[in-house]
Amino acid sequence: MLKRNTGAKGHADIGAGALADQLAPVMTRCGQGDEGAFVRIYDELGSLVYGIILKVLRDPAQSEEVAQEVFTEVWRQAPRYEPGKGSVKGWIATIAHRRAVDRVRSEQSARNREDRDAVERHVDLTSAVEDLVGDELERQRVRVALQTLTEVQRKAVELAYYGGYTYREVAVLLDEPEGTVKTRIRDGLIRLRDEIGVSS
Amino acid sequence: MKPSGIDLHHLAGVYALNALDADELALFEAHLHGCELCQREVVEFCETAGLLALATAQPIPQRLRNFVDAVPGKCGLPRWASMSASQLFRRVLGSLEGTQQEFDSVAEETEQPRHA
Ligand SMILES: [Zn+2]
Repeated sequence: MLKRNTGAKGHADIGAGALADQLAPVMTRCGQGDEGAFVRIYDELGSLVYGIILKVLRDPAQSEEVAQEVFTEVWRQAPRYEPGKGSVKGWIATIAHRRAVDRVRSEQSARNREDRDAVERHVDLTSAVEDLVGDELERQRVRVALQTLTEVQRKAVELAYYGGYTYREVAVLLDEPEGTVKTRIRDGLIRLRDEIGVSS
Repeated sequence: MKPSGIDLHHLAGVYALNALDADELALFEAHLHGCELCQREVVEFCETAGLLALATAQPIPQRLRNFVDAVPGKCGLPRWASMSASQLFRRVLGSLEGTQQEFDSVAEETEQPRHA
């Protein structure tokens, strides 16, 4: 098992994922206006984009709308993608998640954000697995890695990422101090990174 | 005492999960600009977040696929090829500033023949 990285040192392996990223040259072609490259990108990552948006918004029609915005943004922003700054997957997932979160927060009044049921609702990962093309093995690894977090870390990470809540909202939902939640999210992400990194 | 100056280094995680409020987001992004440690952490945490997204993958609905197929035509990116360097520069500048209207209007400009 990898040693946990906690400080400025020990980050020498950052580029590993990006180096192995077969989609990076495809993204570069996409940025040059290659429509075939764009098709390849959404063939590979479309289900990720739609899946995370649906997870956050929970409404298929709205999720489709937001996914449309994301793919449009990906095509338009493609020339700005820098392979040295992370994988295509990480880049596109960030765009998709941010758009989903923007949407959910803009409709805060429509949703009851103080809803305590949220804690239960979002701490349920295993339901998302269906017959999908793509790397089931990798998905399985993520789910296994999530189970290695402490209960409180996992809840904080899942509410923030899958629930689309700010860490301050997470603190209210979990009835914990904000600083504690911040630390748990950070520690949880480091743990996940190290767990998933082990076998990749 | 300025606790926020210290705290900012610890916001890379919540930032990567888009879990910051608007006020802290602005503070952190300003900090991020000049902090290599946080930049590295953000990249790493975004990679991890990408894997969290992967775990929730769902088949794309056909309607969405049809839309996406049409995106390049709608956005007209291939027209870039015929842009002058200054038009291209302005367009890129527009996108960097996140001003989509400007972005689009520049694109339209390149379509219309100009009459002085
Ligand atoms: Zn920093």
